[in-house]
Amino acid sequence: MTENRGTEREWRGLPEEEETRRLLAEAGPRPAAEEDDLAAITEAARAEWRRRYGGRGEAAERTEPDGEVPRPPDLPTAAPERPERGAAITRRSDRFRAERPARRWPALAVAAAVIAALGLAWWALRTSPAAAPVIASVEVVTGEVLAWTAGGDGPVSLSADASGRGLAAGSTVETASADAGEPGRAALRAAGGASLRLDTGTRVHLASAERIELTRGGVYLDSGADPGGRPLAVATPAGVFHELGTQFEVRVEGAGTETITRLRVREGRVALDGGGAQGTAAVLTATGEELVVRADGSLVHGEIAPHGPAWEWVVATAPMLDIEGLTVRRFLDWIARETGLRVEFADAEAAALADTVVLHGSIDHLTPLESLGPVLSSAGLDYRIMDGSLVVLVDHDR
Amino acid sequence: MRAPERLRPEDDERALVARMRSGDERAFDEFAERYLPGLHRFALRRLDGDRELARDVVQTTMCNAIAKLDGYRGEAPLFTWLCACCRNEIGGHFRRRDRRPREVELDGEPHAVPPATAGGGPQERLLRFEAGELVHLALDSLPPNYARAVEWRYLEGAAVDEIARRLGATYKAAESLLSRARAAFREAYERLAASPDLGAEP
Repeated sequence: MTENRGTEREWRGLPEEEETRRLLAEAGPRPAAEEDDLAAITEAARAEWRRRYGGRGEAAERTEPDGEVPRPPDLPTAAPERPERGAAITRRSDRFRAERPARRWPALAVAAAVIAALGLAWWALRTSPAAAPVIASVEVVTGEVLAWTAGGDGPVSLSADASGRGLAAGSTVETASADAGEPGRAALRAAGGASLRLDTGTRVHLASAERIELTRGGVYLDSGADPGGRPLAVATPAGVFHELGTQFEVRVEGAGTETITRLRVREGRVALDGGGAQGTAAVLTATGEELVVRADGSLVHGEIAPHGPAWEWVVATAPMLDIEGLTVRRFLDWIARETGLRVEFADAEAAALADTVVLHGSIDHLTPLESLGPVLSSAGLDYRIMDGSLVVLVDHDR
Repeated sequence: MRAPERLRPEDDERALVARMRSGDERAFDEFAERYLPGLHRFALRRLDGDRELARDVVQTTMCNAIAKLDGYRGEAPLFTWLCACCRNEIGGHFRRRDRRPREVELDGEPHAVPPATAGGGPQERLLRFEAGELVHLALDSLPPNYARAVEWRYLEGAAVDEIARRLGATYKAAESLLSRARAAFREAYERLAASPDLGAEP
């Protein structure tokens, strides 16, 4: 049979067919993936998809892909489950174990599921809106972090998969100290929108949507660039710190007559209400200022740069930004807020790029500073950090 | 002969995503069939053929991508978007393990080690390796029937009537599909060659 080659189109100076043939010959066949691997990945992804979108179709009605992604009949039917950031790797391994002949796994899995369900039910009851309003949710947890309910029940471990869990008024959260086996830190999102971060060795009582009580350790509060929610006050042995649209850290160290309460204001203003243990007078503290309140009520004023090592723990606990669809400018605004660096553009071209380039992808596993290189590079930009400024410039070497 | 139609893969992909979001399980199956093998190859190349690691990384990538489907607006081809997600996941993996990541940049193509068995000098081998990956990526970004038809015809040397037999189609239909597949391959290859950042920008 005569074949109509239809190759009048040219590609790179050759007939399209000829160039296509040359490219494929040089590349060789695509390596085939292991069918078991594809099947396992497919089922894990299906579980996530069903959890989010609640599949309508029945598995029996599915059309099997023609030979590319076969599904072994003994593969466990995907049950809705909740993959969390970083948890899918473990889950994949579990699925593979489930394919093996050892039959004790299903029984153990059922038992574990029952225990987990009972635990969650207990927690849900204790934190249900009927019992007490949820006033914060967990965003980031690293290391060991414990929580007690309003009734004092607990502790419950807030492991890394607790993201999104609500905390009711009256709850207490405690992070493991820096010298513990797993030093703990956490980032919570208050109902009013503020970001509340807990450093290692911190104990905080979430008294209400407007007030938290810090008994030891350090907390960082960021009410956002455009605060609109209810202001959150931090009560300490030295008094109550009221934020006035700001980012600040309050730290309580020592005990008894050795107690020291320290305030560091990164941006905005903070008012310290009198009424502390020693009747401290009302004090207003502004950007770049540090205030140490001793147990006897005496005050020591100092200065603190809005960037640098003092804030490293805050940056390390920052909930990551979802950059999908954001401009580089928005990303840089976030970087500036998290790191305390001033963003400057070397020239108008760099600023224009930042305003117009839209980002795709994810920086979930990077810290804010680590994400700078990859994100800016993708936009044809580079940066320098000097004297508290993040200078953004066009990368002409690209 | 009728000129090959210009494909609108973005429309197909937006529709596929919309169906997935509406709960259509067949759409999920199509999604997995169409993109998973290519994504797995993408990861495997960047992980020195570590099968176990590639499986973990691709699974996490797929779960993360599904979690972000609501944010997918079709500005970048779906396969490109998935590859960008996968690249980030690989970077995250190496970072978590305190190993030096081979790639951490959103825009940089990884510098994987070319096959040791390839001939020529190092630069020549690298270029050949990269060109080969571009071809595979372009094929992986096509609908599976297009990719298969192109491989049958231009890699195996199958005649059009043989391709028609394999497809269960008429000669004319196979010829037409092959023409569209070739145009789609060319378009995908050129797009990838011009945008090594694989979707950092739409």
